[in-house]
Amino acid sequence: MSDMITDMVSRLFREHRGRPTEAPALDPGLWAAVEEMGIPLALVPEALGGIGLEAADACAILRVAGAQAIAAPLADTMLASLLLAQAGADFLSGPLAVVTAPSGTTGCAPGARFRAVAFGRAAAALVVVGDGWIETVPAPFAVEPGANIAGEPRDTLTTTAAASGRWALTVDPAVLRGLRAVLAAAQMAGAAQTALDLTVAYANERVQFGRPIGKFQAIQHHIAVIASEAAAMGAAADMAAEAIPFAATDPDGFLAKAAAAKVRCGEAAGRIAGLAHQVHGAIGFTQEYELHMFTRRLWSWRDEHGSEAGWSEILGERLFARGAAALWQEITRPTGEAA
Amino acid sequence: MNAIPFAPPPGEAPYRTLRAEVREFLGEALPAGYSAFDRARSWNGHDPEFSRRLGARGWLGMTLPKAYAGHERSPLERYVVVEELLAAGAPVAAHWIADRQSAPLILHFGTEAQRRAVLPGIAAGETYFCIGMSEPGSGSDLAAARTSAQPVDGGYRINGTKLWTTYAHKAHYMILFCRTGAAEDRHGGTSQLLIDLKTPGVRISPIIDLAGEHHFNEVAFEDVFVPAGALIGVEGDGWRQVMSELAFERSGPDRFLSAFALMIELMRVLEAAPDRQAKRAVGRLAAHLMVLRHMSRSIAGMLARGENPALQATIVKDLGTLLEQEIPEIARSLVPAGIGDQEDEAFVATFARVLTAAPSFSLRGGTREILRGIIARGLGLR
Ligand SMILES: Cc1cc2nc3c(=O)[nH]c(=O)nc-3n(C[C@H](O)[C@H](O)[C@H](O)COP(=O)(O)OP(=O)(O)OC[C@H]3O[C@@H](n4cnc5c(N)ncnc54)[C@H](O)[C@@H]3O)c2cc1C
Repeated sequence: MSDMITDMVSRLFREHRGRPTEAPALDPGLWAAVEEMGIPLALVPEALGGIGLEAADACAILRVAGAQAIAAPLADTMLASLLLAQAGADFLSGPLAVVTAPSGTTGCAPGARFRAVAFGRAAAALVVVGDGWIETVPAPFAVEPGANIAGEPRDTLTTTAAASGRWALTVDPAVLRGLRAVLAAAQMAGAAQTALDLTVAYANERVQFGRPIGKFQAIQHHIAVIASEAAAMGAAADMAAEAIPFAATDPDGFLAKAAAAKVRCGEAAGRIAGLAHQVHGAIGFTQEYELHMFTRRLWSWRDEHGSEAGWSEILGERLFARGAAALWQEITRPTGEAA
Repeated sequence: MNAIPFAPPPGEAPYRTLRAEVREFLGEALPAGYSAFDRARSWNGHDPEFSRRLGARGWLGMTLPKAYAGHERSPLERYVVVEELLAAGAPVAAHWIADRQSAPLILHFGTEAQRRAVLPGIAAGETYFCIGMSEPGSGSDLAAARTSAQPVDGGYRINGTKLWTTYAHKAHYMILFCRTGAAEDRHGGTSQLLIDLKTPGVRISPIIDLAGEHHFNEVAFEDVFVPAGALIGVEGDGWRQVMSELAFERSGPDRFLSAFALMIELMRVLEAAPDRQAKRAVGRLAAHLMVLRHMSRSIAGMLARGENPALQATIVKDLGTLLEQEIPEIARSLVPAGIGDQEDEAFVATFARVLTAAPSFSLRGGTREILRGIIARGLGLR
């Protein structure tokens, strides 16, 4: 990612860092700045009207968002814009959400109900993905508020308006799930990084038995594990982000990377959250201290868009289909190249 | 920010041809009947003929200058060869230490005469090395080494004992970490010497491992005289040099592929009818391997750029050995009747081999506890 964009995005997100005592809610000022910077189009290739960022840059932006506990539907809006671009539709402004129509439906009529929509209460429109079509449905929606473990809005929405646009677009549902998993992995890697930063800082500062707890070997080893797991999450997220441009041309290869990233990040998430709390003692268990913003997000995100159980089974099934003799070829196969 | 960065590794496309060549070579170079058990022994498989053939292909000493019969290829190209050999479980023990850590050490710190004497043989797959670090009283606490090299007329006189020296009995040289100064000067009093193992007074005795194999040894030095030209680098600089040797030792993919042969065997016995649990277990292991590989290629990229990946390598070794040690446990969990009742002999033998080798994974090259201490220090703790 170009340094200028990283700097701008980092500065913006630092200013809007989540607050530990407030429920995550979308700040319109933040969103205006997000649109101003073109972040909603970060995932759109330049040829389709994007702003010239690579998919890996979009993931880097999400990582910074995860690191600052940003309350905004960035991943959904990026994904919605990508689908609109692929369909040849005009971009929509405002926070967006991508939802999947029940199979067999031929369009999205008023009264359609969608569960667990990220920041659904703030959505300007839904991009509804059907079988061979996509539609846009504008607000207003009937909102049944809900939240994930981190308190991020995950609302049930019922559409009230008719679709405002319809395009023919075939989206492989597995690839769509894979994209969501990769975007989640990027945010998880960011949250893990901050959990590590907080833990290192606290271990150097908190004194017991006359010295900083970071001098105790047991604490050092906990933190070394957090750092290693966080590094693995970063690498997993990077690996999958690099595969995004091949999602359409090599869905198998892309899905292997997406699955691996979500499995690895999900596994690390639990380990990091547990150890970070252990090192923090009781202060980390309070609402006032920041750690929970990151650990609760890690706990939430590992169970959104497919858990380790789900994605490992998908990856394992694919590997068994190729056979034991081809295992190494599969592990080393560059995305985008024929098997 | 306490991130220990793993920069995205370079793309794989430029290495496609080389990878295909190595695979093709392995297809015909491994002896007929090379079994899963043999593959699981990879590191312990000592086969000079195989090493010479690799040398003839130009796949040893790959990053060394041509002046020393090297091939001036990049660390990423070397990485491709190394990981293909390990994944295939090729018998690499003869040349492994020499190619991985002795050659770069001597290239960086050795004298011109030392380079000329050993590097061409390493690149040819004919000159083998062992690591002379551990001693009876000095394992993790390497700086406590007591083997002494006393400056005498024209050289050094060495007394002491090295322990756990892998394949000393089949190596030509040892890089000896020893004390040339006062014991109180823990770091500054140490040096490295290039020891020709045929030198009079060097006595190598076998130590048998828990599985009944002979790979490591005790190497005793009794008034062994070596000429002054045996000194590697600068007298008193041993600690700095040995740390860089360890960085080479830790930076490869060796540290997560030791149990790969068992993973393949496990898939083979399950693949007729893999259930959900089998798919999840294999998918999870593959996810870990893919990520470790990404991290390891990132390290190779750092080496190619002349950066120091010591911390990154430490992380990959710790994560990698955890995974390797888990693989036999996972294999058990997928055989409800018990491995003892398994009829597939190749699987059972491979399982036994990996299970009994597993404790060593997080000992050799630095224990897990020592690695975690290094990572913590890298984060500014301590
Ligand atoms: C198969 C195999 C091959 C080997 N090959 C070679 C070789 O070729 N050349 C060579 O030089 N060496 C070799 N070694 C030796 C290896 O490097 C040592 O085993 C290792 O450094 C640990 O030393 P140690 O065995 O003396 O254990 P110790 O250092 O005595 O450690 C015992 C336990 O105490 C822990 N411990 C020690 N210090 C600390 C500390 N400060 N904080 C917390 N925990 C601590 C260790 O982590 C370990 O769990 C080999 C070992 C094996 C198993």
